[in-house]
Amino acid sequence: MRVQLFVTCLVDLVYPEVGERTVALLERLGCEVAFPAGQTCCGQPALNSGYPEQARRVADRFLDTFAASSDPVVAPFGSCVHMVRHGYERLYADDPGRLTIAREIGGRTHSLPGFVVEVLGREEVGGRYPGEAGTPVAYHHECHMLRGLGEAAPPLSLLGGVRGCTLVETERADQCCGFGGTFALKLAQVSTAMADEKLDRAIAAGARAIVSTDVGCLMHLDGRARRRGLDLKVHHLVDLLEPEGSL
Amino acid sequence: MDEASPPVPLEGRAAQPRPGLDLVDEWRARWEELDGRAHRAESLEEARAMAREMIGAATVARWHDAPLEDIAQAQAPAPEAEVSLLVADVAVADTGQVGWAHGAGRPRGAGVLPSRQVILLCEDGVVASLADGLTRLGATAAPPPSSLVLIAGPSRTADIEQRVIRGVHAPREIDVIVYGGIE
Amino acid sequence: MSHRVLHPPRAEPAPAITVNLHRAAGNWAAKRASARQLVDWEAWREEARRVRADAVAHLPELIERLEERVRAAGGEVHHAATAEEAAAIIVGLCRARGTRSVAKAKSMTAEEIGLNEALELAGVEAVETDLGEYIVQQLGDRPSHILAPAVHLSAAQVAELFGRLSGEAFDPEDTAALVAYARGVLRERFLTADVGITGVNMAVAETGSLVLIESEGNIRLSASLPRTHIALMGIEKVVRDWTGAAHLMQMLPLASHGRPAAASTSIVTGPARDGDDGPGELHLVLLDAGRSAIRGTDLEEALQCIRCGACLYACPVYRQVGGHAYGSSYSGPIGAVITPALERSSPETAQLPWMSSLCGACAEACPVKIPLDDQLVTLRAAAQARDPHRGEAALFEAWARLWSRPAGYRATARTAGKALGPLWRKAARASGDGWTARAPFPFDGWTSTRDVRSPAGEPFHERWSKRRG
Repeated sequence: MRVQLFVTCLVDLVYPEVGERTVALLERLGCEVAFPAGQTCCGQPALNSGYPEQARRVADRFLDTFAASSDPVVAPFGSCVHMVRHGYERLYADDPGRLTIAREIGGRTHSLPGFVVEVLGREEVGGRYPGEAGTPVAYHHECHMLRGLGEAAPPLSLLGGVRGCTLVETERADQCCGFGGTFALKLAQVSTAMADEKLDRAIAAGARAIVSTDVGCLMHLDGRARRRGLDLKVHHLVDLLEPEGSL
Repeated sequence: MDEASPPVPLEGRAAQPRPGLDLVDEWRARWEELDGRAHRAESLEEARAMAREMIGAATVARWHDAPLEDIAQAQAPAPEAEVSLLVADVAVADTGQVGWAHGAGRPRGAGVLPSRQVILLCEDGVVASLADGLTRLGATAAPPPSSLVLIAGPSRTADIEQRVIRGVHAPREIDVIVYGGIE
Repeated sequence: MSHRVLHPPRAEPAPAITVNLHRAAGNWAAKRASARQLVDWEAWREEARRVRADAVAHLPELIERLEERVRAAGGEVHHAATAEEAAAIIVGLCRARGTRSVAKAKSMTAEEIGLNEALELAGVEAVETDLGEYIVQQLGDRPSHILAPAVHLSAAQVAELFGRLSGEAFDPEDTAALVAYARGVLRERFLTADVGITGVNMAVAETGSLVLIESEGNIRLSASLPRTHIALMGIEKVVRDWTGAAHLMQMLPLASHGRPAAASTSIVTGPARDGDDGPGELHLVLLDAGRSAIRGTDLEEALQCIRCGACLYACPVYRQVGGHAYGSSYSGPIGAVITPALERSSPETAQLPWMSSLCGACAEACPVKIPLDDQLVTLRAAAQARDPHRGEAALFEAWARLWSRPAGYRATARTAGKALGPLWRKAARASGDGWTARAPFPFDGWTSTRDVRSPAGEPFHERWSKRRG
C-alpha cells in the first residue's frame, strides 16, 4: 500500500527521529512511503492564536500538497489530523470548492496509531521498550487524538504489543498535560502546574516513563521532568515500536 | 409560524427496565438509592395503620386529604411540627421521584418545613416515565395547577468540602407508604 | 458598569483551592461515569441539544407564547433589555411593596445583574438562602462555581465564620452541626421575608410554567412562603413544551450529579390559585442583556447552556485557577465563552478565551453539545481582529508568508537549525543532548519553568533528501 507521510512541522524541525521511526514502521508493515516535498504545516498554531486568515494560507499549501495523490496521508500524531478534519471545516466554510477538497483529503488523513490499527488492521506490531527491561510506563492520551479523533484504543492497543515494559494505570490519564500550543507560553504558570500534575500522578502510580504521541506534549512533559530532575523518561509511542534490538 | 422539528424517538426509559420487577419496585429501588424510605401496604387501612405507628405521639402538620384523617394524635403548625403527613399524586419509576399538586387543603408549608415527612401514595399513581408523571400531575393542562412539586429523596447539600449532609432546608427523613387496591 | 465583569482574568494557579477543586472534580467524574451507565448518553445528549437548539432558534416566538401563558395564569411579566434595567425593575417591585427583607435563592442571573448590590443600595436586606451562597455572602466573598459556590473554601473557614456569627464554637469536622446552624438562621428568613427572589432553570412556553430545580429546598421555600415571588430569567431559558422540558429535567441532574432527578423540583404556574396558599403575586423578569444579539452568530449555541456546571468540573484549567480567576459572574469554559460574547469582547473580557488549552474536555462533557472549544477559537479571532497585538500579528503574518511556500518553510528550517542553533547554544547552558535551559524570546516564557529541545541540526526533510534523493 502506498502512503504519503505528513511529518508535521514540529517533528520535522525538533523531533526528526520520530519521523524516521514512523517511516521505518510503515515500511516494516509493507507500506511504500512517499514524502511530498512541498509540505510545510497544517496551520493550526495560527488558527488557535486567533489568526484564521494566516492559518488558511498555510492550509492552502497543505491541500495543494496532498491533493496531488489520492493515497492515504499519515501523521505521527493526532493534533494535525484533527486540524485537517475539523479545523479546515471552519477555514473553508465559505469556499465550497476548497471545502470539498479538504473533506476528501481529511477522509484519508490518519494518525499513525489510527492508520496502523484501523486501516492496516494491525492490533499490535511488536516492539521492545528502549531501556531497562520491566520499566513501568504511564500512557498520556493526546487530547486531539482522544477527544478530537475519538482514538482512545489504537495507541493503547499498539502499546500492548510492546515487550520490556508494563503499563501502569494512572489517575486521569485522559486529562490535558497543559501544552496546548501557545497556551504553554501565554499561561506558562498554569501550563506548568498542569504538567506537574501529570508527572506527579505518573510517579505516584510507579511509572518511570511516560509515553504519548503528540510531540508538543512530549516536549512539555520532558522539559518539565528534566527541569525538576525527575527519574522519568518521556517517549513517543513510535520509539517503542522498533523491532527487537534495532534501536 | 415555524413548526418544531419532530422529536427523535428515544428509548424513553432512564434505565434498562429490570426484568421481573414491576413499576412500584423500580420506583422503590431508585427512591431508596436517594436515601428515601419506602413501605408497601396491601390496603389504605393498612397504610394508615403504618403511618400511625411511624408517627406515634410526634406533632404533625397534615394535609386535609381524606386518607390522612385520624392518623395524627398531636397537631402543630407547619413551622413547629416534627412531622408532616401528606398524600402524593404520582411516583415516577424512571427517576425515583414522588410528586404532588398543591391546592385547597394542601398548604405549602406543611409540604416542606417539618424535618420528617410521611407520605401516602396509591399504587395507581406509580408511572414509568417523568413525562407520564407530569401529565398525571396536570402539568400539560391549560392551565396547570399553580404549584407542582417533585421530590427525589431528602434534601441535601455538599457545599462544605463536598461532604454530603441531608436535610438542609427541606425534610431530612422521608417515608413513603405505597398502598395497593382501590378504595 | 456591567456586573458580569468584575476584573480582567488572572491566570495564576491557586494551590490553596486546587485541592478542593480536585475533590469536587473527582466526585463529579465518578457521577458522570454512573450517568453514562444509566442512559444512552449520546442519544440523550443529542435530544437535549435538539430541544435547546429549537428554543434558541425560535426564541422570540417562544418568549411571546410564554408571556401570554404566564399572564393568562395571573402572573406579571417584565422585560429588561439590560442588567441595570432588570435590577431596577426588581428593586422597584420591592420598594412598591414596602419590602424590608427578601429571601434570595441562588441564581447566577441575579449575580450577573448585581442584584444584591442594587437591593442593598435601596435599603432592602437580601439574605442568600443557599448554604454555599450564604457562607460566601457572610464572608463578603464571591461564589466561584455555578453549582458549588463555596467550593473554594474549607470546612475550617466555615466553622470560623459561623463561630464569629453565633458566638459559639464549631468543630470543622462536625459538618452536620454547621449545616444545622445555617438551617436555623435561614429558616427564620423564609418565615419573615415579604418577597422571595429566585432564578428559573427553564420556562415551559406551552403552559407558562417555571421549573425550579435544586438540592437543598431553599428555592422551594423562597418561592412558597413569602407573599410575592419574583423570578428572574435569562430569555434563553425558555423551552417549547413539556416533552422537551421533561427531557431536560432529567438531563440537568444527570450532567451535574449523575442522577436523573434532583432532590426537589418546583413547577410554578402563575400566582397561587384554587386554594393553593402560595404567593399571591408572581413576577417574571425576562433578561436580555446581550443574549438576542448573539443569535444568528457562530456563538449562538452558547445560549443552549442549561447551567449544569459540568464544563467547570471537566476543565483542567478551571481546576488550577478556580472560579474567581475568570473575573466574571460566569466562570469556567462557559464563562470564558458567554462573558465575552455578551459583553461584545470588551477589553476586560478579551483575555478570557485564552484561559484554555483547547483540550476539548468541556465540549465532551456538555450535555447539550455546545462546541465550547470551537467557540473559544472563534472568540480569539474576534479579539485579535478588534484589538490586534501588533507584534504577534506581524509574527503570524511573516509566518504565513514563509510557510505557505516550501521554499520559505525550508529557509526557516535552515535558520532555526543552523543560525539559531548556535545562538541558542550561546545564550543557553546546553545539557548536551539537544535540551537547553534558556531560550531566546519568544520562548523564554517556556524556559522559565521547563527545559526546551533545540531545533535539530538536520530536520527530517533534509535527512529524507539525503537518504532517498
